[in-house]
Amino acid sequence: MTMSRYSTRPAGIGLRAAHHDAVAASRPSVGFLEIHAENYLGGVAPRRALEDLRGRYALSLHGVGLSLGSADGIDPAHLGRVSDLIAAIDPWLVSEHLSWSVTGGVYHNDLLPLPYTDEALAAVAANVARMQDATGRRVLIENPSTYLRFAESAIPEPDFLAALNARAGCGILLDVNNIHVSAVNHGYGPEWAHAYIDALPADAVGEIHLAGHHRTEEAGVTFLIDDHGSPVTDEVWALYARAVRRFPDAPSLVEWDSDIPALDVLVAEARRADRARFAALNGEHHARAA
Amino acid sequence: MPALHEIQRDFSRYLLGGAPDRVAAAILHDRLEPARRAQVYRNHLRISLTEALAATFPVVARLVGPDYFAAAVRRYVAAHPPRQPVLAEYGEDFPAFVETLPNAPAYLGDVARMEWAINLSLHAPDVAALDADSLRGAPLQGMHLMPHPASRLLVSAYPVHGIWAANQPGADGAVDLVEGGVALLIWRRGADTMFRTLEKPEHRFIAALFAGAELNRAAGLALQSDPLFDLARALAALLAEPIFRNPSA
Repeated sequence: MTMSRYSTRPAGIGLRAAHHDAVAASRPSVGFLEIHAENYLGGVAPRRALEDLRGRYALSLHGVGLSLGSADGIDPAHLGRVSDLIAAIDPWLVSEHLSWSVTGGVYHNDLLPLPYTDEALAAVAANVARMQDATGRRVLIENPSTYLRFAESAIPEPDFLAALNARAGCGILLDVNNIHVSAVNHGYGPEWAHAYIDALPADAVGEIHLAGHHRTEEAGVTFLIDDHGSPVTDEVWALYARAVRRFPDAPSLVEWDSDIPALDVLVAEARRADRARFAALNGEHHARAA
Repeated sequence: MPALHEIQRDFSRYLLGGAPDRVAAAILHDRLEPARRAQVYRNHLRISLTEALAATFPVVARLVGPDYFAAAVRRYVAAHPPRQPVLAEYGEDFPAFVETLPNAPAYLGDVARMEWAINLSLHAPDVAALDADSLRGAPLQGMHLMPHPASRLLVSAYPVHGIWAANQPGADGAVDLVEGGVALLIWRRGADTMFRTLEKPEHRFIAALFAGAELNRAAGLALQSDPLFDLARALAALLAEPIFRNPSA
């Protein structure tokens, strides 16, 4: 196994505007900050806040609007803006999603699900290649949380990601909360989630995401909403332990996007990820999980 | 088997308010009705765009209340969906749209215009501004002073600045409409958007400059509405703030 030079990096936090001032003032010792590209494409205040922070922290630029799953291709104007931002702030990591949000020139402000077909694989691979060419960066592609499956889907999601990795040369951003949310919403057991993690190529996963979700009921069926609005749940910590054993070089990140707590709470969640990671890599669970 | 672009087109029509039939037919039926699964995405789109527009138009949202605002956004999104993924840039057509809403106050459109102008100012590119030093020694004859991209003029038949101020967080909302109309200059100082009211001569002066008139011509228009218009003083006040663009920087 090749050890990454970032393998001992502590977990990072997703930086939201609500925490700009608190992060600048208290400079919490976290491994890195992840920002959403679309929040920094206009306006002087966000960019100035970033200038101040990027000297102190490694930055991960997480795109949410490129719509890599669009059959129409990706918007060259938006790709140009994201590329310019990457050139300006030189982030340590660059990532986007296995999803779509644009069709017919309309942006739907969500990470919408794809049918997992050969046609979709070809479309996403072409869009990822364009993004990587334009930005000059290897991009990590995040697995989605989904609320539906398309009847014509023929390729299991982890196989789709592995094929994308092989075809486009992109990496994978593994969100273990998303795996759990999708597993529950589609009635799969934990063994599906375990098999998912095991099916991903070990050298492709370049980052792991953690977040909370909201549990609800739809017509008597338990349904999880991926709202990033609460602490990470026990089921997700269990998947995390399995993921860090399989991908020990991948840095971890905690996201919190709704009901955003005080910065201390978010940093404490990142510390908890550090302890969980250490225990998974060194503790008794290591032997038992094999 | 529907092609990817057909699935995306059908999904889009459903998300923007259309019937679920076509998209539901493509979804696997597993314990829940396919339309119910699709609805999770439509709810998210509506809620997230309502939040985005409420962040750009907080005073409009406060004036009409949350239920009315959410219903207005639903109709707006169907007619004017976002065209790109930077939501801070979404809402250009919202001021004209809110004027068409039933039972809305007559000043709602102009309040929305003020909020949109503030938003454009906040998100305008960061380019160099003109100051008095950079004009020193330059011939005033034939000079053009162009607006900084963050500078805007707004004219309303209502006291929109008063309505805006009275509906900031913590304010009581009380406004005297008898104050009448107003002309506002909106600009950006550092990372903050500023505004101030303009008297008629100064408004004519700035409006002419922003429209590309040369300095002498703009001053002439101001002097027509007030023979005592003090050009040197007005210019010094404007150059003390980053209101004009510095063309040579």
